[in-house]
Amino acid sequence: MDTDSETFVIHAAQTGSQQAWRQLFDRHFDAVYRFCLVLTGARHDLAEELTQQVFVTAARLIHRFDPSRAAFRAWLFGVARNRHMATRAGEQRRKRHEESSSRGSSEMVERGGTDLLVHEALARLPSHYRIVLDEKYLRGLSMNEIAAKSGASVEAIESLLRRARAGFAHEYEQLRTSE
Amino acid sequence: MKDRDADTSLMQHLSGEPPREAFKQQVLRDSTAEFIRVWQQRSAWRRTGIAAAAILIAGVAFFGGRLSVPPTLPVSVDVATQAGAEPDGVNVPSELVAWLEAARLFRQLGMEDRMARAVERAGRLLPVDTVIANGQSGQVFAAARSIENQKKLMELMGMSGPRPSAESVNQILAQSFGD
Repeated sequence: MDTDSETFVIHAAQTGSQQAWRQLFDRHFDAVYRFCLVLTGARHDLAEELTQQVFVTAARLIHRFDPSRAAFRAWLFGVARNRHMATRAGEQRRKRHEESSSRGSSEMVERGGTDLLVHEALARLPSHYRIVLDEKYLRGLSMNEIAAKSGASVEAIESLLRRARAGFAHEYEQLRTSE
Repeated sequence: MKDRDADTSLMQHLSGEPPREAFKQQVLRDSTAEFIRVWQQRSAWRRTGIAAAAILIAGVAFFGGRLSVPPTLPVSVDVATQAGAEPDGVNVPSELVAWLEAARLFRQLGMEDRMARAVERAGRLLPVDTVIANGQSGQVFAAARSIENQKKLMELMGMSGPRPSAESVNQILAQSFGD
């Protein structure tokens, strides 16, 4: 799925196509789950709850998404961040008096910040780079499997992966220096 | 970040236990249900908007059409034109003269009730809106406004106007006698 075809699928979903919505879900579910896992400090129960909220919210608001302003995955991450912040704000109000949790949470946020940068840098990549990195690292496919799936040669996939990693490194450095 | 570092970072942050399949299917069902619900709601709103716009347009067209019609029908153009054409007097319709002739005949025959009806019919035909206040014509119009002025009207019947044909007089007499 390149940029144009993803834009086409997004447009189809925005005009009510359930099939397009399912395609977008399949494409981004794993990445959103991993992102939520980082946000919640590797707590699987919270990550699942947050992932559920992200996709239900995205289904409700997809007609407002503007593909010219951001990548769809980056938008999903934005939804995840907002939902997570809203949940945490509610929890912090309830637990404000508990000092014992403050030190642990700050360490978790610091570590989570680095992890989030990895996901956000990945989300900002052009879709053909992001897809090949997803296949390799997120789904754990081999070079042969990726080549067979995309109909390209193994050498072409290796070359694409090298360029994708370089692009990722560039985006990551940009995000790190901007913070 | 070098290529090897990018590879290590991606491996570290993206690899791991994938989300449960049952959870993924549950999120897909829930988000798709929300997607359908929102889409149906938006379609319903759109239909309602179109119906409201159609009603508004029909209402504006109806009231616009009603307001474009003058509240009273214009006065007969024939009479006004005839009255205006002769500044020295009034050119009356021939039917009016015929009724007056009939009234004179009834009077000579001593049929007062028939005469009154004929004068009343003649009074209805008078071009009241084009009254010329001065002269004999003005007096004719003033006299014709009520049946009480019948005698005065009869005295003034010698005014100018087209003479009725014998056929039209016979027709009017027949109507007056109820044939």
